[in-house]
Amino acid sequence: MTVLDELNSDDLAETCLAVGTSDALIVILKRRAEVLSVRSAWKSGSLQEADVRDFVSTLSASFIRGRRFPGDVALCGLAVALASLPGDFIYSFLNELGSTHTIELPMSPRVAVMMLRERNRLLTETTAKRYCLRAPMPRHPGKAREASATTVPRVGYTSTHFRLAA
Amino acid sequence: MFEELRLLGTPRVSIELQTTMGSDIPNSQAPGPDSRSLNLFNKLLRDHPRWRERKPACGGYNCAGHVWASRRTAIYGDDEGDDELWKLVLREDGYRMLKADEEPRSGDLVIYYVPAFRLALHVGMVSNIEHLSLTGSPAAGPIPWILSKWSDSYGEVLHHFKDVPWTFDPDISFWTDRP
Repeated sequence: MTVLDELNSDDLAETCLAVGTSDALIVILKRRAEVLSVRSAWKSGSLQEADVRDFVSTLSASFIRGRRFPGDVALCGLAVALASLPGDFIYSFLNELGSTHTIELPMSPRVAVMMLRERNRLLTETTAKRYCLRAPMPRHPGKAREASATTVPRVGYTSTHFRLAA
Repeated sequence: MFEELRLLGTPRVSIELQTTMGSDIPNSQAPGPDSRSLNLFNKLLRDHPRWRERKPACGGYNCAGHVWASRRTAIYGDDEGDDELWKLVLREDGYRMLKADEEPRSGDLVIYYVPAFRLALHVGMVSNIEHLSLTGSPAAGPIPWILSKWSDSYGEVLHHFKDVPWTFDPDISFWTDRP
């Protein structure tokens, strides 16, 4: 069983299906071992984009129109696990999932939208902190105001993180 | 990645639903249960032998839709999250939290929260007051029994207010629309 398969376990589904709000579901998923394992695997490089695509494709095979999608909880877990990690693929994943407005997926699109919002907020904050560490001190005190007003956004826009957040 | 699900899926269906004060309540009717949900619901019934099934597994509504939409639709919240929406409904429908010395009565609501976060997990309705403990033996005082729909794809069950399906102990509060 891979780390992704664990997101599709009955144990996780049993806990999560009995949670009525997406806010609470996110808080619970953030602490689940299955979700933390996926996050670690992605950070270490042992989990890649192709694995996630294959996983989603496998889940989709169990889709039945008009019935609750059995992979809904697994997609919630995946969205929570990956949301705060950098990369265009994760942004696309959350964006696409968040715009899947079908009754068969009642929770995962909502969780994806909330995680996308959290991701944008986190990455913007990360960029601001990085800029502060790298910013040169102004050489001419008289031009300090000009430097602080114009340099900050330019440097920020060169960052991949900031581009995603904007 | 999700094109197939979007193409094959059923568009969301909402109904007109508002609080007493006229604020819109976003909602979407829930799909029918899948085989996994049916199996998990049956497992929960086996794991909680004191639960009494009132209605077999069905779609249509969730816990919030059960108490605030008369089983017509599911209330999942909007993109701002549903915890805030629940607070809005409680406020605009005139609910107040019961004080420690007040006894819940039939028709009051129970809300379960994630411990330490005060985020709502589930809402159910007090069905009756019994003198039965968790183990089924006579209780010293009156115990509220709750009518719950634990998931949008489970059935409805009657249960002791502390007999819950999670592996952690939630925070619990009772709410009423009584003066």
